[in-house]
Amino acid sequence: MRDERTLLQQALTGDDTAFASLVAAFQGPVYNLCYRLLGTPMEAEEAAQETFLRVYRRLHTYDQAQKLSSWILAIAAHYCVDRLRRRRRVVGLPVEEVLPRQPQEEEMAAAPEERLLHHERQKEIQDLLAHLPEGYRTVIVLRYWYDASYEEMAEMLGTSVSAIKSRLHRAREVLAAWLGERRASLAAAGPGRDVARDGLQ
Amino acid sequence: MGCNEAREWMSLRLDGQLEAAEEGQLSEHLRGCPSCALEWSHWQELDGLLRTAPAMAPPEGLLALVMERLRQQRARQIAGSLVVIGLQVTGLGVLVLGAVAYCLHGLAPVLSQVPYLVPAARFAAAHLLMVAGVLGEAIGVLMRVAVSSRSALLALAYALLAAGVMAAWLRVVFRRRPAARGPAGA
Repeated sequence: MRDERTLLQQALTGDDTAFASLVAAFQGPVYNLCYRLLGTPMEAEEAAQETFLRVYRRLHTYDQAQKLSSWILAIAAHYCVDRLRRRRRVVGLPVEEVLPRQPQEEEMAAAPEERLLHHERQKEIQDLLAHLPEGYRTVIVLRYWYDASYEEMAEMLGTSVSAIKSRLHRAREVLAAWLGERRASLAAAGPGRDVARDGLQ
Repeated sequence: MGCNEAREWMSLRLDGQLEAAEEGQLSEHLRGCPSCALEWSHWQELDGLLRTAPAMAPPEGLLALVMERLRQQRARQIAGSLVVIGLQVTGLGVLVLGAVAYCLHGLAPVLSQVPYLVPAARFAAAHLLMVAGVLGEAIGVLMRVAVSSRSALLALAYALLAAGVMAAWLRVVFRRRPAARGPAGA
């Protein structure tokens, strides 16, 4: 397989096969980022498509000094954050929010009990992330799923390292508080165990 | 070390950003402060939960959909470019036809040409060339009036007006350009 920089150069000259290879190489990371930020598979798929169309339109603006993956993920993150801001202005939940999620290929291959566990884990994570404002959610996702350093995040999000540190700290504080409340209410057990969690939402 | 500082350091510790001495200070604080120790246990649990979160497989057909949307986008760009070229040709046509009309017709008063403009406006969409022709003729008449009055000043005014109109026209036409440009053309 040709390396990413070569593919990018070829895509710039109008080579569709080269661009398709780039999409194939980055569709996993881009889709996951969109899913973590937006929370639903349908929105994530649409956002991933839009991200790649934007990547194509901006190919000629790519700065070789930057990591290609960071550049593409930054485009995806900015798009998702804009989308979340627009969503916040709309009253009520989108239809796909209440639809059950289709199991993915990876999960289908797993045994039923593993699949259930996988589904439960995904749900728990998305519940956690849903408690964060978009700015905090972005740094958490980039830190944990993309192993991005403070400097990389600052570059991707166009902010300072100290701002990233403080956002990460605040995000963890919010999440840990929520987790603590949840654990406390689970320990108290009983049917109304999710009251504390609902009260936080 | 105060509790606020300890909490700030917890985040740095999770990212492996603390020096050995700082690690020691934080551990010491946690040993002596039950509320921070409880909070640290939540931070650790959270960290573990996020670190081991499974990745999602992208949906099948995502690649094909992206490439299909790309093709559609390009088709729209080509259509847009054709419109831009059409507008440019029309704009230039107006001036050329004006010159032709000037050459072909004898002197006539400006007012007698005005009625032509009414049907021209009515059929503007369907008869773009006719509109261009009539407008051209009107410009031609203006030029003839300017020349027949033998006023160099009027002729100059017309030239300036035509240049101004043409510059404004091209500005409008070229403003559409960036939307129609793909990376392949960059």
